[in-house]
Amino acid sequence: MTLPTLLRLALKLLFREWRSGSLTVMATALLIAITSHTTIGFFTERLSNAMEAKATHLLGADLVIKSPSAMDSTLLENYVDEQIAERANSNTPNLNIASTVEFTTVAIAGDELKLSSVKAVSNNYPLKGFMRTSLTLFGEEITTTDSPPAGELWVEHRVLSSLNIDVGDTVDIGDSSLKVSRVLTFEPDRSGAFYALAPRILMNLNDLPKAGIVQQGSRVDYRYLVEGSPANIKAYRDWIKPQLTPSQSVLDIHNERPAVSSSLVRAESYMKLAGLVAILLAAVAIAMSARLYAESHYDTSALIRCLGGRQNDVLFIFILQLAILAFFSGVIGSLLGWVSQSFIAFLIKDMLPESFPQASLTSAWTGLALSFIVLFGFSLPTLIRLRQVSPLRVLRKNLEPNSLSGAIIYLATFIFISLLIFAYTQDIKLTTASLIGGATIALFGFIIVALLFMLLNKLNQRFPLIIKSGIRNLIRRKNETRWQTLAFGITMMAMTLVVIIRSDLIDTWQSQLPEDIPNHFVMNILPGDVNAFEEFLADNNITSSDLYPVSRGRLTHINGVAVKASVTKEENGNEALNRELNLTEAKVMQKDNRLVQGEWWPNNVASSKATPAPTSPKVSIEARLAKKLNINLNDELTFFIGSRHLKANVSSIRTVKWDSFKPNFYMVFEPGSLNSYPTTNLTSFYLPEQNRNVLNAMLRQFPAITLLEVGAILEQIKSILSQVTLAVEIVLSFVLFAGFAVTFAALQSTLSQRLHEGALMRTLGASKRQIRINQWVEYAMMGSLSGLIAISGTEVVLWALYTQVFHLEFNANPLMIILLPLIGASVIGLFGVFTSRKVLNESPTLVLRDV
Amino acid sequence: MSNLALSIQALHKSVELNQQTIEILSNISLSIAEGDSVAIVGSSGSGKSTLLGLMAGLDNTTSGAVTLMGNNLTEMSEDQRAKVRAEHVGFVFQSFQLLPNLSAAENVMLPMEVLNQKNAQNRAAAMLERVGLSHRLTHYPNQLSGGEQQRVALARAFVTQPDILFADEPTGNLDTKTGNHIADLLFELNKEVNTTLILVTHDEHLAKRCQCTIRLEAGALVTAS
Ligand SMILES: Nc1ncnc2c1ncn2[C@@H]1O[C@H](COP(=O)(O)OP(=O)(O)O)[C@@H](O)[C@H]1O
Ligand SMILES: [Mg+2]
Repeated sequence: MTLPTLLRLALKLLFREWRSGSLTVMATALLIAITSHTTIGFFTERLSNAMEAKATHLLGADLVIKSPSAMDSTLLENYVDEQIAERANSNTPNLNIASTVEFTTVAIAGDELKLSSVKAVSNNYPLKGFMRTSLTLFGEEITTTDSPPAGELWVEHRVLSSLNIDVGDTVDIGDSSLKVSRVLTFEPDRSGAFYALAPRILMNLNDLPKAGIVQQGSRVDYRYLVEGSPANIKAYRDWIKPQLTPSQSVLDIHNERPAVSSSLVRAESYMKLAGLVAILLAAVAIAMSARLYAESHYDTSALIRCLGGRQNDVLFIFILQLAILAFFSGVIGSLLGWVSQSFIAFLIKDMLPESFPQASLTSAWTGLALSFIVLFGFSLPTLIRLRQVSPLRVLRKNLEPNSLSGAIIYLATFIFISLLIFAYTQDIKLTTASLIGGATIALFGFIIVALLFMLLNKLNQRFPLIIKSGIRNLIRRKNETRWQTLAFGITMMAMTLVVIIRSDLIDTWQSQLPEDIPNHFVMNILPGDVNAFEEFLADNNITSSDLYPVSRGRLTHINGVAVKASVTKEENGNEALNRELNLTEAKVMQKDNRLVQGEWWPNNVASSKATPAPTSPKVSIEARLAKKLNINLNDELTFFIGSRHLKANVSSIRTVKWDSFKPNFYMVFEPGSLNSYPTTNLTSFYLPEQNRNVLNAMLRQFPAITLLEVGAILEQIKSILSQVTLAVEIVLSFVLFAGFAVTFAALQSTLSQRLHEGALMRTLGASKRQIRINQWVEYAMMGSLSGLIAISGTEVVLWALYTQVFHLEFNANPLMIILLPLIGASVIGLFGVFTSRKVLNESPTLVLRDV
Repeated sequence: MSNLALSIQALHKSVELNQQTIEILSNISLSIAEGDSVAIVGSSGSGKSTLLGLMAGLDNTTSGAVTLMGNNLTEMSEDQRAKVRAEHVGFVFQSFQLLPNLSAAENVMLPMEVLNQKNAQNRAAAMLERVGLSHRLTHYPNQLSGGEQQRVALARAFVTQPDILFADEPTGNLDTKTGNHIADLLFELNKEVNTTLILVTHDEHLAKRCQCTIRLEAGALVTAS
């Protein structure tokens, strides 16, 4: 047969098949898989682009060149000029450059002095991101992308309180007098250990020469902020890099990216995991309905062969049908994916950053490819049997094709599942683990199902008469129903796991960011002020975290070996070494820290007074730093604090939740260790937005403290989390839909048999009521058995995850042991009775004549 | 002497069933000339359908040779036999065997499409008109009565003007009256197209309408008249 003929025939058959509804489950499952894949793909791409954009906002540009001295202006302008020259007729430079000059100097107002960190910025600063300012101290914050005009200063509140002035007063910077016009509350590219720095004063770059303050030799940080399209930025980076001196450096978001909260990373991997589960479930549904589809087309195949079609003609007709189905599902699924991710973005548009970049078409392409892979991978092994059908079937109805050996079908399916998991996880170990785990669960599931059926058979004598015959049906059909029960059980297990992991994930986030999470940090509380400060907080009904004594010091030696020498070159950039560390001491470990090695020192609660300094102090070190510096238990660390050394032995190693927004420390000493070293205190507290004026009083009473507001950052993170939660929920719904698809596919596989039996029963005189009761009993029993399978599988997987992977305590979930069989019974009961409604409605003669 | 449409030599057919070899057809030899009409009769289970399947090359012989329109089917592969069927053979079955997903006209077009013949649509319409179903072109099999379905099947069988037509109990699923109509139509068309007809039936009346009758009993040829 010619290709056009085959195509025409394939289309005709497909169209009718579609109309008759026999492709619905297969197509729906495929659509779910593709929609889920593309939604996740599009959304995570946009999210990570947005995160990247956010990162550039924190950098204030796409690229920053850092230099200790003013850079030759040709380095910046030449490139732009060259570019313009190259595109003779366009005179728009494709890069924007802003510059800042940062230095530390004394700001003076009247008699008061304050060492401040001044940043002089060009008029076009910031190129990316925004600043937040207010017109009065602790007044309403306004987001702005302007910068201070010439003659004006924007200052942090600490400057105002230290100099004892207000907005509108003048401050002397070097030789120039400038007017304070705004309070600066947030600046995009503030980097480093921000709380250790002197307060910020922002001024206009044009005022700098007049101030006459930046002279040869003074420590100044020049930054050149560059903005442009990714291609231009890359070209510029490649161009400038070789021309820089060793003291100059290029920063971009990849080396200056703020640590993206681990929650986001987890959310993304959860979405991928859930997406994978949805795809696998959909694949199972496809495999089941493909088998049914193949079986219902043996006659078609035989007839076409009988009329003279070749074996490959027949196969080709069905391959064409698959291809058409895959193509349309791929395209429609990608469109739906696009719509659903746009819908998510629309729902949460208030929470999104100003620019939420569109996704590329990558996910649509992979969606289309996935559509072909899933459909062909999971249906071809059974559809290939259509080629094998003997034309003699036109004469002998019961002639089944020689099955491609079951082993080959299962092997092919197994290979496809492995490939899918690997493509999604990109992790050989994880893939192997999930395959072995999945196979084990399937095997044990099957054994349990077989045992349950035997038990049911034994018990059936004792069941009430009305349900007896339903159960008997179930057992009589056990070859099919055992598989169905197993399929439902594993589907339900996958769904339950996805739901439980989602709840755990969201609970973790919510517990991380409770309503009253500290949004203010206070540093430099002098030892003499501690009591007064605590009183102040109490008077104002502010609850704070514990007070931590803090000394600032540097880690200099590990076991007597100088640190600089003991770390390899690339680790030199470790921030913990390059800057001073906050060293603290504590009786008890912070709640969310966890010991991984060693022991915490005993807590002598009795001595509430100052503890005497221990002779050989102990220190607990954060796990990641310990690993990086290769520090082990009992190593001796030497710190340089002020002008003296402190030696301490590592007694424990612990993990820290850096994203918990509580004070966190790399190094915690045994109480008393810091007795003879200068310390100040640190705490954090929550203050509702409307009570911000309390801060005025606080600063007035304790002028030495450093107050840090992190509310804005917190809000940002909260909004990101809620947007991710929603995305997670939508992805979860795909898993549920895919699970339903499997359920329908499995139920359909016995439908024709049931139709026939039902018709026979009715001709033999069974009432509709009796048949309906039988159906309910059979399906509900199957559902509750699969609920049992699901709960045992779920508990085993959770146990393995908690105890073996996360090293957490595992608690069985007694509620679910009752809940899952109930859910199983009602869902499978409903779906089953729904799909078999034809058994009751179709006229028996019609059914019996068909066969 | 006219050419042979079909000749069978020393045909045996046996199948393996539960480690036992069951002989379904044993040592059958016969030949049928072009243009003849032959009835194969015998009781149910005597092997009629099996013989028909072997004659049409739908199945492999255990031993012996089948030559159909000059093609030695026993030496051919599945696909080669399919080609012979497409070019020379038409079928009518007891259970009609229409594709449920194709309309009446599309079902009739099917054999022409297998042969890549032109004008399939018009010829299918003409053929359906000939069997009295001009108003049923776009109907699907499940919208047609048994007699109508078998008429569609007849139209499909004759539309390519096959050299030889195999019919397996063509009236077996129909009531007597409809069955008679179908039989009339079958023989009318057969005359028009001048096709060799091989008709399997247990209906002696129907068998009598053929030029000769072959009787099978327990897989063996009893009489060839
Ligand atoms: N492939 C097969 N496997 C097993 N038994 C078969 C096979 N083909 C035919 N038979 C048996 O051979 C006998 C003849 O069948 P058949 O040709 O259909 O008879 P008829 O059409 O005359 O009723 C029957 O008993 C049937 O069961
Ligand atoms: Mg028969």
